[in-house]
Amino acid sequence: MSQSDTTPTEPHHPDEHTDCDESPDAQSALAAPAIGTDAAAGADAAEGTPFEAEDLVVGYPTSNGPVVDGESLVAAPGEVTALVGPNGSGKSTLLKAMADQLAPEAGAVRIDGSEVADMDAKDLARRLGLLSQENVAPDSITVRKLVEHGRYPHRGFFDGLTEEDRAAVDRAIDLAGVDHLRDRDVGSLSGGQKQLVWIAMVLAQETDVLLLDEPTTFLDMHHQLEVMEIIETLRAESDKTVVVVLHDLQQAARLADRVVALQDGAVRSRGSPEAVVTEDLLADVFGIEADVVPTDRGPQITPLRPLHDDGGTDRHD
Amino acid sequence: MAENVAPESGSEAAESARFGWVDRSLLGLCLGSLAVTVAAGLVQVSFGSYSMSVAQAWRSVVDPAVLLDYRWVLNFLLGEGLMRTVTGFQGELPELATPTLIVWTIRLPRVFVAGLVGANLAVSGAIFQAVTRNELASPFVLGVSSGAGLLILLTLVVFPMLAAALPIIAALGGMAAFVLVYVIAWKGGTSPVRLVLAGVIVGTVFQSLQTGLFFFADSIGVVQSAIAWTTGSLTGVDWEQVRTALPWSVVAVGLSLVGARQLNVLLLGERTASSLGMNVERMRFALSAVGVLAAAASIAVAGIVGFVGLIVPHVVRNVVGSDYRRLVVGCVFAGPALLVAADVGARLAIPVLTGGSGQLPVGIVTGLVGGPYFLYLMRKQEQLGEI
Repeated sequence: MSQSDTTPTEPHHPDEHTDCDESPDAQSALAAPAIGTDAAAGADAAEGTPFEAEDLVVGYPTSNGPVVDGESLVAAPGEVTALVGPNGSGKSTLLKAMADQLAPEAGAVRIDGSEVADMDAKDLARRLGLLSQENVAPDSITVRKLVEHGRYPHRGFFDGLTEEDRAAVDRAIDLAGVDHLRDRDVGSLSGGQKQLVWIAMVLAQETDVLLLDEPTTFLDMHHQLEVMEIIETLRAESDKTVVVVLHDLQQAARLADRVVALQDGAVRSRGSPEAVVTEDLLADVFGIEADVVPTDRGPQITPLRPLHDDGGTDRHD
Repeated sequence: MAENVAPESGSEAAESARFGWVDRSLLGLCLGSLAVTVAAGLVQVSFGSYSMSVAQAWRSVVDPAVLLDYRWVLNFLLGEGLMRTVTGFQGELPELATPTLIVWTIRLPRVFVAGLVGANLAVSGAIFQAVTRNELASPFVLGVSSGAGLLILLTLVVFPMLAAALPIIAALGGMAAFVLVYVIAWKGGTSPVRLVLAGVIVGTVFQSLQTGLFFFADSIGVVQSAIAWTTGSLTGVDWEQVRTALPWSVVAVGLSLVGARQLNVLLLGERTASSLGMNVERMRFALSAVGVLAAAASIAVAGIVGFVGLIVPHVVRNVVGSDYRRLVVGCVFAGPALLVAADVGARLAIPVLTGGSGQLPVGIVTGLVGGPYFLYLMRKQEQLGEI
């Protein structure tokens, strides 16, 4: 499960300052070697659902100009792709657009070749799960009932829970490690426990593609590690295509097969954690001076100090 | 807090799942509500201008001459014409004893109408509280009451010749206002906040127009009639009103039970509901329409009875939790309990307190009960508002 198992055999040299109009072909070429690199992790790990965004332009009605401007992104099938970037870089917006929760002004998102915008909402929800950043549930709902809602897209209007639904709910609760909480009321849980329960609900959807929007933000260290463990399990044992927005670059470096760094709505760098998480990128994109030391758990970042605009050029190693 | 059913696992879960959600708190609430409804109903049938003993009145309620004669039962439920068509019976209905006749044709229908109105308003309020994700929402939050009220006044003051169709006009006015609210709120979609604001806008304007129309009323009788309609009254209701409200109530309650799971998912917030594959806009409109249908059915027979749709779902939620299957069922029982009991007050307050004769609109009693209940909640709960 350690990073070295899944490091692509052929490291990619990240072309920093990628142009917005980079051709999609280049993207698929980038993603292509990723297939099969996970072969060591399991026999079926080479499978996975292709999921990609092409030339996506996304904005909000209230914002001036697009938040994400003509970006393309190919999620490595069956692997974990992390979106990182400073506040306001458009990573959550990009994720929402990829989940069809925001209508893009231009461009397309495709899952296994079909455009998500054209898909029936329930069909899409059977293939793609999204965990939003903030979630609300009534206090008096039990954990189990909440997780059962994850089966919504699999049930008809009048259908009750089938045996298969129950099995999926049990698997999700098990995978998220909330078995001991299943009969508790959600209102009585801590923030970290609630997040695990929400992850269980999305897992119960049993989708091929899973999008997670900052699943570790605001959690204590224990629950951050719990969430990361779930994602690591998914990476090792399932062929789910996972795209996760992470605030914490260190977590991204440790967790992801590939990392995509965004800045001001544009992709600045993409590739394996080793290739993306560099001292140069931290300076350019995150505006910090940091030491990056390669370890077998991915690059280890030690932030040193913030760089101010004029300091960006005269940084030293 | 709701005690939840034991963890369901394995094969026995499938067996118990169908009714597994009916727990002790819900059963207790339903039985308690039923007891209140029956008790208040028995008080209602015991008093009136025709004097009979309490025992006589209660015996009349269970008079086998009515209960065991399908022709009488159908005569009440379907109306005489339809009863004759259905049964093919053309003769005279068997004669009833005078107390039985009084109880069954005058006093009992009022209890039944109160029950139907209470159930409708409670279910409607529960729906709107989920749709707006605000537990202070009522059936009238999306302009239904102001639309109905305006048309009631228009009819009584400007078009008195249409007074016979008042129930239908009032219900239609409520629905029209709801559509107007939706149109105002729509801007590439709606949101709970936009809907509530649009409801306030429509409500304010219609309320002003409605109050303005009072100045054009030419007699005190018209004003009193308008007040009875706009505060909600059960005075003089009859089997006719039972027949008006019953089919719509059955449809609305049925649909809200069917939609309970959708309401539960809506409670998780629009974003989650939508990422689970719900078409949130469509579902919200459909569920609101069911809520408006229930509210309109009650407006058609009793006018605009306030507070019931606000309080009852609130009380029920405190007992059974927020699961809408339980909540809707609880509302179907608790709504009638509140309204039938309040109607006892409305009917007997003036004679008992002042010795005079006359009745209060039931809406005044529900308001008098509702205000203090919210004061109590405000003092007791830290957070009031979000479900």
